[in-house]
Amino acid sequence: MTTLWSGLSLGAVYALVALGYNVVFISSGIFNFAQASLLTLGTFFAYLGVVTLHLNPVLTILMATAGCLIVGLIEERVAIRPLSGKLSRAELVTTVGFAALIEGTIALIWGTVPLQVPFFGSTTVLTIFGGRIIPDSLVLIIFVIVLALALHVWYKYSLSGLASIAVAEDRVAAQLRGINVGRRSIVAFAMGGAIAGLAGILVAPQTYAISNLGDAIGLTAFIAFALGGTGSLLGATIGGLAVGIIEQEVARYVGSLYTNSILYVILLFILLVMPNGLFGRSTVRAI
Amino acid sequence: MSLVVVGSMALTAVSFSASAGAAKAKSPFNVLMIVGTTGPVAPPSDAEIQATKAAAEVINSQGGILGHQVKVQVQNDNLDPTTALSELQSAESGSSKPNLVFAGTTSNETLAMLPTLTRDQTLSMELAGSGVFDDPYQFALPDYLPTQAQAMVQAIQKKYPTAKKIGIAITNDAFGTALLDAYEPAITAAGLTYSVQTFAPTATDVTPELQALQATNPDVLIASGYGAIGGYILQDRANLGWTVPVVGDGQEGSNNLPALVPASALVGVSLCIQNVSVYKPLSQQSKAFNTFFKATQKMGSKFTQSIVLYSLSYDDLMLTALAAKQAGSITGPAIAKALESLKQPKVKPYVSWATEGFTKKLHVEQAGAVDYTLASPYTKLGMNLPLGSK
Repeated sequence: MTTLWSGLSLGAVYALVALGYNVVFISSGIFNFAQASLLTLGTFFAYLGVVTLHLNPVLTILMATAGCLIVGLIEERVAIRPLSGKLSRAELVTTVGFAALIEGTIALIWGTVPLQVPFFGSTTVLTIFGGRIIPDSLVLIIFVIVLALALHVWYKYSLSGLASIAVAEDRVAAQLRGINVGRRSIVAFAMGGAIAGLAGILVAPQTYAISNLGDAIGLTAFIAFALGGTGSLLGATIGGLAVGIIEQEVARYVGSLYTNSILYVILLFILLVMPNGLFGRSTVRAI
Repeated sequence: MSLVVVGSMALTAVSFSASAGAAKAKSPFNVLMIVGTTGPVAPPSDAEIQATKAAAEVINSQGGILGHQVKVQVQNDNLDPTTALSELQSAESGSSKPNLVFAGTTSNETLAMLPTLTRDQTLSMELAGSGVFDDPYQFALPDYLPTQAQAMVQAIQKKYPTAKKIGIAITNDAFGTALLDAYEPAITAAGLTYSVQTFAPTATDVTPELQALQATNPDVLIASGYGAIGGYILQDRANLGWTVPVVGDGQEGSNNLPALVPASALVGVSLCIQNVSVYKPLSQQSKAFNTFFKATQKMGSKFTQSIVLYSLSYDDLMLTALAAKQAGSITGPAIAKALESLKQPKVKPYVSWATEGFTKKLHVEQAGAVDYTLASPYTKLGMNLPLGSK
């Protein structure tokens, strides 16, 4: 059971990044390679708030959310908007470049040595259903599930959310219906940044604030994104948690050398059988 | 005053000025450091540069190497082997050919430069662990991994005499694999058994690997990981409630562990490290250590890195100077030959190992158990406190 909790805890980190990928993808059709780097930045904002400035958790969360939101907006402005309307798919390259910019800036300011960020709550290990888990990890798992549900409700029932989905389904039709597609893209990148900042204070105690965290989790989070199905927030969450569990269970019982291979085989199998992922939707067009 | 006396004085004055002129005319002993001075390895590279310049200062204050003043030059290769090779080739074809090269921060750069260094018969000292020990002109002071592993096992047996099984939690990168290749035969040779779990150096959670190790019931756990992974090993062990004693090796000890994990995760943790890395007040240190420490401080160092990074670089140059003096020459081949059969002086100028030197077969330091000790993970001035201290 401890391995399962460990998998859920690791999976929650992947799910957070996959949720960010989806939020941006749904509203803009763009895959944001910098999402994992934004989460990394969130952990450093958490370090800044908790350790350097000795702020209380609420102020730290607000600062981190606002900081990462602003960086998300900057990314949209410099790495995405100039390419708007062009069919080159260069955003795949510019978002990678922006990720490198974020990580380089972090290394410049805070260095490359891992920085410990204490959890604001209890650190006493809990025993739940016979497995051991630290409170920070439990809060992170609950947070990711609640966030996914909240985002799912927002997209499904709010006018703004429905407008975002409309842009993802058919950008031209959405424009013709009067939806400001440019603003949708800005909101998407801002939300992606905000999610990363909001979670920083929960992720950092588990992973440390470390400048190359994005490199460690970005690719595996993409597996979660693809596994869950592009455009599906619940799929991203389930995909992330599943990837975390698979990774830890394989490491426990088979060996850590095999985790990546097995993950990719599973992904390949799922996509062969269900090309849109576990929860992705395919759109039928009448010709 | 008689004419003879005046004439003798004049001749003496002329000969002094001639020899002074000749001393002034002696070319410098050029030391070229081609290392990564930017990016993630900048702090350890800075440590190595400060210590090398400190050694140069000490040597120059004693008249240089056979009268040649030591001049240290640093070139940043950005950890890129191609850049490192370009810098070396540029230096080798320039007017101030290097007499000694510190070849790269990582083994990739070292291996890229080796063919050129060998071709030009240029003496080089290795800071990384390239695994090349038989190049005619290249030498390495970091300990040969098999002797390091033997020292680790002996330290464990001394501290935990009833231990029968050792667990090893180690990274699966090139260095971790090389370490494991050294640990396994050393443990077997000591009549002990072992279990191993490896993980990627970029892993963010090693709970399952530690659980797998825990299931094998080892009496002692060897922890080996550099960077965040070093902290995860100890943190996840504590989260599992596993109280097995931990002995961290040099890789693990390179981390500032008290900054990575809370005190509760350091209970039962010790580090098997070089004696030079254990803190003692300067008044209790050797004269050579005092000279090294003060000279490096003078270069602006605050010893924010492990003391070993400073001491090995310092010793590289001190050993070179000693060998050159014994060879009576500053050419690469002559110094290399002297390094292979170094006569140990009564007053040793180096600090990292009890005895430093190389053999014709192995151009790498082979320290022994006498050079290692178990120490606390808590540090002061880049050195670990004695075991039991905080």
